[in-house]
Amino acid sequence: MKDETEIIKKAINGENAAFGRLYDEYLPRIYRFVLLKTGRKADAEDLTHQIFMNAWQNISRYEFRGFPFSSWLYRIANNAVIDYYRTWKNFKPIEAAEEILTESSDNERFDEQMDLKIIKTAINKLEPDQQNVLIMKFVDDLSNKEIAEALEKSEGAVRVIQHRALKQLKNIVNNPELKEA
Amino acid sequence: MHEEIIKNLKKLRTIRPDEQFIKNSRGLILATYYTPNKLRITWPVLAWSAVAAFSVILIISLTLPRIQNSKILSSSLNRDKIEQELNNLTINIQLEQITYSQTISQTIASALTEISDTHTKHLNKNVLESEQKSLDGLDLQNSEIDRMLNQVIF
Repeated sequence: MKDETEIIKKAINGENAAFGRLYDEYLPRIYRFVLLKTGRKADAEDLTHQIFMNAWQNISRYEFRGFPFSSWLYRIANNAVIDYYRTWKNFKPIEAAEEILTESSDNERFDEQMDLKIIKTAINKLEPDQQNVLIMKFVDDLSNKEIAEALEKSEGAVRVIQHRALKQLKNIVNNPELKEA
Repeated sequence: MHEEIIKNLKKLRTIRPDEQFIKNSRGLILATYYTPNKLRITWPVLAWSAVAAFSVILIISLTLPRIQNSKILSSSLNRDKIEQELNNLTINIQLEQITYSQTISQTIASALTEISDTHTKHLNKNVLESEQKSLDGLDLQNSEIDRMLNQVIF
């Protein structure tokens, strides 16, 4: 985001219009991340709203350390999802995948929809850290450095997690039982 | 190796929130009042504030006892009390004068007794004669003492 530092400074000084620009820039990515993690649209909207409300109320705590604002937002989002998992005990990933599929686009070809369904179901079978890395890296296009900052891990750890996650995901996708579902 | 998987992952970028949700959420968040922290409290600021507060307390604790001992602060400005103090002062002065006069009178009386006593032989004649000279001119009947006594008693 161009001139992000200046915009953030204005937001810290209380200019809600500046925070509005940050909201417009990062909302789609955070929403996508939360939806893929929770699998439920209503919950994803509630959580996304809470994440940005929390960010606005605590923006004075943001520190410029050479990382984009998105890393800080993703950290808040990840913590919110962790809290969500603690309260939601009846999580059903398969149903969630269908819900996401319906909401994504009505114009997608059938086979593409099936691909999306499969990949979403497969993601939900991964470990939480593996889910986070794959979503941030390939869906939201964050760098390893930004992901490391968001997840409070080293870049080396992020690369290892990414490699294992892709390998695991491939095994899951190629599982005949999953394709027939 | 993982190109197909990554390609499918990137397809998930089509997921987007509803426009109505964006509009409602954005409006609610930006309508929330936010108080910017203009004075960023940092440890140096806290430390200097603590030093300043301690210094003020120390100064007050050192100067307060001196102020309390000052006679100026302990004095009462009540008019009635001042007048009473003055009256007491006047009476005290008068009483002191009476006591002094009484003492003098007793001394004089003793001296006269000694002088008139011709049988007392151990008294120095020259001393007695000098005392007798100093007694000349004194009003042995002290009417002033009587007046003061009457004032005090009545």
